[in-house]
Amino acid sequence: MAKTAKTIPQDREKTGSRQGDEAQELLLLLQEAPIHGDVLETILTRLPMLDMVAASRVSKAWRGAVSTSLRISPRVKPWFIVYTLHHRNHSLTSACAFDPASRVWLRIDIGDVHQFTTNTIAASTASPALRSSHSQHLLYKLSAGLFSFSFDALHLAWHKAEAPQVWRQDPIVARLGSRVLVAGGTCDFVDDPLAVEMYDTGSRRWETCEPMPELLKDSATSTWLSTAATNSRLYLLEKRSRLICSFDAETKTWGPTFNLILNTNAPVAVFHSIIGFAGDRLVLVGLMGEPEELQGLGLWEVDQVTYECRKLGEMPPAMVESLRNANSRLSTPSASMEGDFIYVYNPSNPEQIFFCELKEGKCQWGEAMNPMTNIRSRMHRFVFTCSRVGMGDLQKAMATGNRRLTVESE
Amino acid sequence: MSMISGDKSSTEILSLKSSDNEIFEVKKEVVLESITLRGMVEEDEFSDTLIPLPNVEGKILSKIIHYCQKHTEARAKVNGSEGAADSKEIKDFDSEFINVDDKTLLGIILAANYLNIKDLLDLGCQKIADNIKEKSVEDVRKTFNIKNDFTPEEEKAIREENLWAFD
Repeated sequence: MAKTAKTIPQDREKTGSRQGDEAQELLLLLQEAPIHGDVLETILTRLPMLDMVAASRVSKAWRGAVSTSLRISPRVKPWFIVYTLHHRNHSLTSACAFDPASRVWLRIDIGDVHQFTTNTIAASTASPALRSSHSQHLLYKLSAGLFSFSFDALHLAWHKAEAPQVWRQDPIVARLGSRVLVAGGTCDFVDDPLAVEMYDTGSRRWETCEPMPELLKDSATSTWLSTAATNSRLYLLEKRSRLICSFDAETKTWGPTFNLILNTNAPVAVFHSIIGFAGDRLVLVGLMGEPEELQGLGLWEVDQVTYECRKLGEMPPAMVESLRNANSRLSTPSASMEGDFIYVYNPSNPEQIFFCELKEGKCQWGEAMNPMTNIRSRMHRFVFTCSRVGMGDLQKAMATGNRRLTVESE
Repeated sequence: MSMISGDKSSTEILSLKSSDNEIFEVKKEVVLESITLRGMVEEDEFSDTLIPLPNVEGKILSKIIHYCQKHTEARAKVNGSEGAADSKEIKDFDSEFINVDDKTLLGIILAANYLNIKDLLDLGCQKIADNIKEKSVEDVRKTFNIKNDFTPEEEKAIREENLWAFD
């Protein structure tokens, strides 16, 4: 390393001449042996993702160290992202994200807002408002003529496709790798309520698949069914009855339906369930008690072959109480999961969120208050996703100028 | 010439000399917290028990010895009698210990790296990481005396390119 001229920065403290000399000596020592190499990498592995971007711009040596430290320890704690939309005109009001690694909320300023908002000025009966599929961080807008969707971590890239053949309202929409499935939904009498179509982003074509199982005929919408998807498999769970079935993306066929059995301590029964994939695990979030009175929340792992359910843990009672108070009678808590994280929240008021990190099979619960005050307005509807935001995503976002991330202080 | 015999090792005293010629007398078991020093002592390189450390100045060495003493004692307590590890006590000690100014912190980290004291290095690195969080790029440069060696063109390119694709 080339030696630069030894300029001695101003010492911050007021010192006598003896202490001043010692300070100067220490500064000289630091300049000759700055933190670099292994030490720098060790420090950087402890930085959350957002700070890594700044760290990579400090100097060439730091840039290299950031790259190495990301290889040593890629950041895998997924962010919980909330998009706030105006209730009536569906315009995007704001967006924010919670980073569990640094436990901060970030405000996301979006440059290409038009991707998120309604296509038409006068919203037709089939309102193409932004929705979340709750699987593989897919956001979409579906209208009679257009189907647009995005599934990268920060929703920078939007795909536009023609709408599926069968027109329906409130269908199941799920992403399976590079394919997007649209199934069920309420529709006109002539159309099949169990119709299933799959869009391939590679060929840009729709394909009709085997219709959904008959048993789901009366509940084949996203209101009644919860989805969990991997790149090759989709699971649908009836939220109230816990009827479950699966769809294979390769064979494009449905498996048999089962009733999931959960062993809970009677008399507290599970009245509402949601599924999702936390990493490779198919996880069920079960709300216990009654719709008007939430008494508990449990997590189960569902075996993907036998459908046996194994309890992973339960939300601490104090947290359940907060969750119960945060929810109105009209809305049921919802969940989003990714990686090792399961986020639980009130879909009509995300002021307070709860989360569970699965560490070596054990549940570590936490909660966070959202400091963004406009969240509290009644005029809003919210769309939630959960995704692992990597260095590449942040770089892309900032390079295109389409996202600006600022830490929201309390 | 002193003989290093097994049963005396726990009470044997070694001397460490800092870069500014300060001499510290330390119990051998405390010295062994440093993997680097452990290697030196076991190889019996030193005919007397004085170990020179030209890379570490007295002020920092004194702090490091204090850390090692505290941790050695804490470990002895656990191995000795009943009761769980005094992890709260040690955690409190650690957070107070590392609550120092940036320059001392840097000194501790560099010394812990040279002396190979893993726990202290981890503690120091975490503290620095916490200090870096939310600092602007320029603040980081100022804190660590780092020269910006990117040309204006390079800085522009960094902002525009997508270097890391860790998917």
